[in-house]
This record gives sequence, C-alpha cells and structure tokens, in this order.
Amino acid sequence: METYEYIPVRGERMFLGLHIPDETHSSRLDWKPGCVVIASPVHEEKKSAHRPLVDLARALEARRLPCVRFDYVGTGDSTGDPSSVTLSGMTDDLRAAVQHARDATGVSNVALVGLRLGADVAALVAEDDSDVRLLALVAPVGQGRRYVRDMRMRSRIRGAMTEPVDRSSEHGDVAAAPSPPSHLPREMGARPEEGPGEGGASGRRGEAGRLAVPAMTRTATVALDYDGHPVSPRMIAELESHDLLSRTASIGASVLCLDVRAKPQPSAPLTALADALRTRAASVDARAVVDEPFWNALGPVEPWECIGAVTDWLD
Amino acid sequence: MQDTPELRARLKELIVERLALSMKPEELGDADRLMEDHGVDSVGLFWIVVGLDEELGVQIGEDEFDLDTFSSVDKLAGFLASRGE
Repeated sequence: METYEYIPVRGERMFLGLHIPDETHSSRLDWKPGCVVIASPVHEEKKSAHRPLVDLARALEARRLPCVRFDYVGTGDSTGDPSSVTLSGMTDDLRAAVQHARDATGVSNVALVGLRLGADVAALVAEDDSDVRLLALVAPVGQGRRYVRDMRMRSRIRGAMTEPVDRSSEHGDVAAAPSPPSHLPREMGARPEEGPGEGGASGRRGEAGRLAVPAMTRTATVALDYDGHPVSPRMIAELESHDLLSRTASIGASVLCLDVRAKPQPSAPLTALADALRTRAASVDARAVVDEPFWNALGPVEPWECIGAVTDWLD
Repeated sequence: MQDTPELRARLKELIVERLALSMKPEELGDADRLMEDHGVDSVGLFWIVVGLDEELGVQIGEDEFDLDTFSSVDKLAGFLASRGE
C-alpha cells in the first residue's frame, strides 16, 4: 500500500512516500531489514532519478520489504527554501525519515539506499546509527569537490550551448559560474514558473492542489546556479569539505557500492571509495551494473538492471 | 599525452560507450561532428568530460571547456595532446 505523509522537520513540512506491503518479511525473518529508506539525489539529478526511485520503492514493496522515500526540506513536495539545501540539512532530513520509518513499522533495523549525493548522506547517517544493517550506495559522489566541479561544468556546458559566454564577466564572481541560460533570470537563474524544489510542487506527479505549499522565500545567498537550482555558499562549502574517503568513523552495516555505467567493472573512483570503506564497514561489496546513468538522463529511463541489483542485494 | 592512434581509439570507445551511440567505436570518424552528426547534447558532453576523468585520469577545468574542443575526436585528441600531460 502506497501512502503519503508530511512530518515536521526543521520547522518545515517534509514529504514522505510510504510503501508498506500487507505482509512484510520482517514479520517472519528477523534478519531482513525492517524498512528500507531511500535517500535521493538533489538538484537536477533528483528530477531525472525521481521515477526510477519510485520504481525501486515499488519493487521493494513487491518483495514485501517496507520502504520509505522522502523529499529533503526545500526540495520536491516538501516545504522550505531550495536555496538553503545543505549537506548537513539533508543528513538531518534522512535521520528524521529513518525515525519515521521505525515508527511506522515498529522495527528498528533499517536498510538505507542512497543515490549520488543521497548515497553520501546515507553513509554519514550510518556512521552513528548501529541499527542501519545494510547500506546500498548507488553511484556515490564520495568527494564533494567532484560534485561541485561537475555542477560548474554542467552549467558551463549548458551555457556554452545556449548562448555565447562572456569570459570577461567570469573572473571575480563568487563561484565563477557561467551566465545562466537565456531563459533564466540572471539574478537567480531559477525558473520563475517553478515552485520550490526540484521542478516545483505544482507540476510534479500530477499532485497539484494536494498540498497548499506556502510561497517560497529565499533566505540563503545563491553562489551557483545549477541548471536552475540555486546552490548556496554554505552548500558549496560543505561539499568542498566533504570526503567519504578520508572519514574514519566505523560503520556497522554491510555496504554495497554500486556503479551504474556502460562497463561491468566499477569505475576507479568507486573502487577507491570501496577500498576506503573496507577499513571501517562490516563488509563491502563493490560492483557495477551495465545501465544508463539515469540521474543525468534527459528523457525517461527504466534502469531495471540497477533496480534489480539493489533489490536482490537487500532481499 | 600524445595524439596517437591509440588515444583516438580510446576516445572513440569512451564516447560510444558513455553516450550509448548505436555504432562501433571504430565507425566513429575522427572528423565526425559529435553534435551535428551524432546528436550529442549538453548531457552527452558532460558525460564525455566525466569519462575523460574516470577512464583517462584527465580532469578538464571549468575554464578549459570549449564547444569547439569537444566538437570531434580530432579536436579532442589535439586538445589533450596540447595539454602535455
């Protein structure tokens, strides 16, 4: 059964989708995770990954594994200022979602599945939560500076394809961001027709009108426009200092590091992350599935190889 | 990094794989225009940049990116050779 709820988190209303099967594995096999919590990416990657992550949640429910997905505060159908999304805030939001999952299922042991930056957030939460038994990291970022670099590069490429770049204006800018595409207001880069979060609440999943979302108020200064998504200086700073490879806290969970790419071998960055995690996790399984990196796809993608690999590993 | 047939072959393999082009790497011409002839869009260009990092260890700086550089295998190979790495 698929239901939706809002819970209060950090002074906002956080959206959760609950996929609770009528009969769960955990009622019969106590080594199964009581609930799976999915941590999504943010920014443009969340828009592209939304449908595949819903498919993943439904696939888990079909395997009788309860599952919770959610929108970070300031994104998707949650309230909040999208320009104030930070790594630390995302971590708090995942913790809140995990607690709600426990309350909803009555079982403390959980599995976390994170995609891209959501994977990194899941790994951070797993460090101080011994009841996280399984941790699936799908295409984790690993090093935040890579993510920042990729954000800037994507903006650069898109800007170069949509209008001539005025190089003289780049130097001295806070983040050296390129000019936003011509269809975006220059002062912010956000699409005025969109509401809060990834694509706005009004146009998403045909759920307009289900929740009266307050008018968005931007409270954070924007350092970078990422395909229309405002990224604050604090988020940039947190990402620049984020490095899963250099962390030392132990993780009690068994970890799956999963790459999604054109080759069946994990990439060098994922292999390096898996090696680093082996020193501090219960166990680490690093592998790759041949599938399209759906979080960057422009059109609809059905990454069933990836979904199958994750559900098989959890089940 | 020198502009060799081996480098060009690796670039073609990278481009065809990352962009899931319906062709064999060797069928991609050195002078083929990636955007005009093969429909490579901004996401595709981004994946080539990511692939250069992951497959060849080449990190393209934000200020180094130029559409012309990524317009063909010819141009890309020449650019990588000019970096002298």
